[in-house]
Amino acid sequence: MNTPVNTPANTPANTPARRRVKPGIVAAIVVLVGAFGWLIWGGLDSNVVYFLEPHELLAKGVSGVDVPVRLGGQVKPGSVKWDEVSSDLQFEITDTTGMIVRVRSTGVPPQMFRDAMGVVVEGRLGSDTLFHSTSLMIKHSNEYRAPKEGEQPKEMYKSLMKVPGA
Amino acid sequence: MSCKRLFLEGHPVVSNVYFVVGAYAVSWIVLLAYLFRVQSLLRRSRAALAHARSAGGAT
Amino acid sequence: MTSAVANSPFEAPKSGRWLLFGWLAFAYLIAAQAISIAISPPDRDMGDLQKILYIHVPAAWNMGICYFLVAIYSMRYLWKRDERDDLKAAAAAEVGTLLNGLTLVLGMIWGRPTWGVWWAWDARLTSTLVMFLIFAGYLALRAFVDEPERRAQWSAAAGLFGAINYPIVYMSVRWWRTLHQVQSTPDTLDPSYALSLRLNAFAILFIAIFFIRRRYEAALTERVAEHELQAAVLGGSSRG
Repeated sequence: MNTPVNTPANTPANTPARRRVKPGIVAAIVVLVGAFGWLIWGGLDSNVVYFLEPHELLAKGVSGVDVPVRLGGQVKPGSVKWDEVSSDLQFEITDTTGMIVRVRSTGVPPQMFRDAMGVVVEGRLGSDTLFHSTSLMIKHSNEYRAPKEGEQPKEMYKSLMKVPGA
Repeated sequence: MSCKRLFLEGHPVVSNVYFVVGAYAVSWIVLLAYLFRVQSLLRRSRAALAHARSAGGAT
Repeated sequence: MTSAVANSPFEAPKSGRWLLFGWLAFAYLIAAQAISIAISPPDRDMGDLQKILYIHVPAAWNMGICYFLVAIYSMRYLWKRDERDDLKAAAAAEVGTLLNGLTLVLGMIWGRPTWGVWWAWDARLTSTLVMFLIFAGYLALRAFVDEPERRAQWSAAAGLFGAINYPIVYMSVRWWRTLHQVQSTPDTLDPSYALSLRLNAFAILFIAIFFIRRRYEAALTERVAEHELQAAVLGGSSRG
């Protein structure tokens, strides 16, 4: 134990206690902490409110027009107009305040789309007060229910998704 | 409230069953793959232990 | 330290009845899935897709349990400096990461036909992905660092750092406005769905326990082997 330290047996390579930290670890930790920081203070900030409700979008006035935005709310019952031939879909999104934004979307919506369903659309509010949607998502509630007596689930859950070539 | 659903007619129908089967298949593949991983790790570590003990006994 | 007969500071673990436990856990999972699919009618909105609930949600809950164990064992390691606590934390972290990944993938498979998109960068999905990446980093860290004590210390810190994310992930749907819905409660679930969900949640719990135990057993056996090999080599060289 008290022998001089210059023997080969005591070179750093043979002392297990003090091993050099590999650069890979430092890089990994920097990346992780950076990603976490970005999420908490940067990226998540814009995603914390994933969508605006109609009254929030309308309250923006002119500054809310023609900027990319997500709009969410409930499909106003009875407002849905669907053109089978052109796949043109129009409906109204409403919120708890009763404010309404008319939405125009093309393409077949997700299969759960119906009256009173929660939806989130991506797009821009035009100066014609019509919201031009490029993407329509369903926001499902936390309710899962079996069909009531007389309802036909077999008919209800036919998928509407279009597959290429199908 | 039985809400009238839209557009059921005139569009190609893809069954949801594919997604359900896919989800269950993925789960089973993941669980079984991990089961094999952990069992083989265990076998390997036991072999290492047996090796260490035979090395200890040999000297 | 200079003792020629230095062996491992702890015993190699015994498997006992854990293999049987594993068989039963998998058998129970098969039974739970079969019962759930048999007794639960299609949901009135999403039809058969509702059955993805029975793996997505149990995976997410048990991921939380695994990460909770990571936090407990990491703290215990920092307190008592027992290497076995580090290995337990590592085993729980690996299984937690597995379930975290499964939660994400199943959520995507579920989201495509119901929401209409595979992925959305809302607070719930993003925070779940970040938690997955943190624990992937945790496992990478363990692979990178060779020296056990340093590895254990760094891992304990990283494990605690990762585990505090679970409450954020869980509460994200309440704190922020997300595409993902808030948690269902027994009031918002059809009774047959609630029963099936519980059956499956326990099935995944048993499997997670089995996995953590086996993974810990493998890691501890490996460490004992390393200790004994070192002792054997040192003993041999001092004599020779």
